Formats: sequence, structure tokens, C-alpha cells
Amino acid sequence: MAIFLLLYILICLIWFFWAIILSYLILRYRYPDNMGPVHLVVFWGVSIFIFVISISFILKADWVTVPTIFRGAGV
Amino acid sequence: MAEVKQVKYFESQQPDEEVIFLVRRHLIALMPVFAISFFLYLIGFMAIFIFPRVMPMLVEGFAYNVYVLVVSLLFLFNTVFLFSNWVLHYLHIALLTTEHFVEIDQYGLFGRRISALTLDKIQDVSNDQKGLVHTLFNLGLVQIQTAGEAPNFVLQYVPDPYKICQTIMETEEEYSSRHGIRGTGVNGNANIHNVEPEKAAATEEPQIEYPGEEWKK
Repeated sequence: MAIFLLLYILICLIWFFWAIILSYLILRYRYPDNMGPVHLVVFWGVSIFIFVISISFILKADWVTVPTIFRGAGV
Repeated sequence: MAEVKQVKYFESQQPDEEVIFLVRRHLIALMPVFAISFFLYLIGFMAIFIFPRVMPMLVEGFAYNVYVLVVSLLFLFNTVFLFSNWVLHYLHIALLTTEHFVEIDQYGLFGRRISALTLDKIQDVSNDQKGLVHTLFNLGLVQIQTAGEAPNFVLQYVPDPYKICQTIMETEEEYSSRHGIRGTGVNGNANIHNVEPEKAAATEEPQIEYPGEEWKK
């Protein structure tokens, strides 16, 4: 079952790469109106909120509790 | 048109070169993206609050794992999809300075194009407003035709296109007067009247003398 968690983390890494590139673009080419950084803060705020909510749901699944992960990984 | 602070927007901008306006596409151009994103968020919220009640088997046992995975990723990727479209919108600007017309276009995450044009290369500026959305929100399409092999500029969904055209024409006129350039631009040869006499003489076309009646013989 730990394979699902690994899959989730892997896909989140793709998402993270995408988000980092966008953040870089905004900070690298920001204009004096500063709308870019403001929206960037909102974006990361919303994303972290979604992460927290997702994790709270995920922790209810039996396959992501820490002992299960380790058992699934054969540790 | 956004209010502009005098800072450097592009590499070749001169220190004394002032930015007259900065324009972006109107947010209405992102409506299809907003609609898709809204639809996906709606599905996500339905997946949390409605689907489990209607179909309880979705959140039982093994299916719960997959369900949580899919819904979480839906929210995450929808958010980044919306934000990336907004970033591309935000980074696509057109600038008019006292010397240049510049378009900075961010296309995709790794594509950036900066096209700059000196104002004397502008031949014609036109605006086009058609359709309900354009009329309601005072949006339009501005086309800038250029001399020679320079590519034409097309700005879509820009707010107040008529005012933008007027500003470009006035700035081009001032530029031509300042530099003593015979108008290849929107005002044609009218610019020659604003030029110092020596410069005007230097830029005047040579007079051709026709042989008159003798030539016919």
C-alpha cells in the first residue's frame, strides 16, 4: 500500500517543480506594480492550505500511517 | 492602461527614456481558463461533500485511498494551472516609451520574447472593436504596422484601444519632431514642418527637373 503514498509524493514533486518555476518567473521579472509577488503569496497560501487539508484526509487512510509505511517498505 | 513608475523594463532602455504607458490584455481574456478552473474546483468540492453521500462505496476500504489521492491532486494541479495562466497573462505586456514600442511576451514556462521597435518604424496604427464583449468592456485589438521587414504588432483584448492608438500616434509625432525625421510614420510628411530648416533641407527629396516641351520632341 505504501506505493500509493510514493505515487502521491512523486506527483507532488512534479507539482512542486511547476510551482517553483512559476515563483522564479514572478520574482525574476516582477514589475513595479508588485501584483506578481502579491499573487505569489496568495498562490502559496492556497497551496499550503490544500496540502494541510489533503494530509488531514490522507492520515485517515490506513496506508499512510507511519507504521504502515515502514511495514509496506519492508523495514 | 496601468500607471507607470520610471524604472528599467527592458535591457536596451536608455536612462532618459520614459515609459508613457504599459498595457496588458484585459482579464476577460482569461475567461476560458477561469471557467475551466471553476468547473474543476466545483467537481473537487462535489467529490468531498456530495459524491461520498451518493456513492458510499467510493470511500470504503481500498477505494478511499485512490479517492483521496485523486481529489487532492485535482485541487493542487487546478490551483497551479490557474496560477500559471495568470503568470503568463501578467508577464505579457506592451510598453510605449518616448523612443520605442516594446512587446514582452512570456509564452510557456521557458519562452520569453522581447520585440522592440523604434517609433519611426511605425507606419500605421489601427484599432478594431467588434462583438458584444469588446463593446461592453471597451476592449479591442490594436494593430501596429511597421516599415520594412520588422514584424507587425497585434495586441488583443487591450482596454481602451482608441486611446492607445491616439497615444501611439502622438508619441510618434513627437519622436519624429525631436529627431528631425521625415515622416515614414503615421503622420506622413507632416512631420517635416516641425523640423529645423537645415535638417529639413537635408531630408527633403531631390527636386527632379523635367525637360518640359523639349522632351516631347
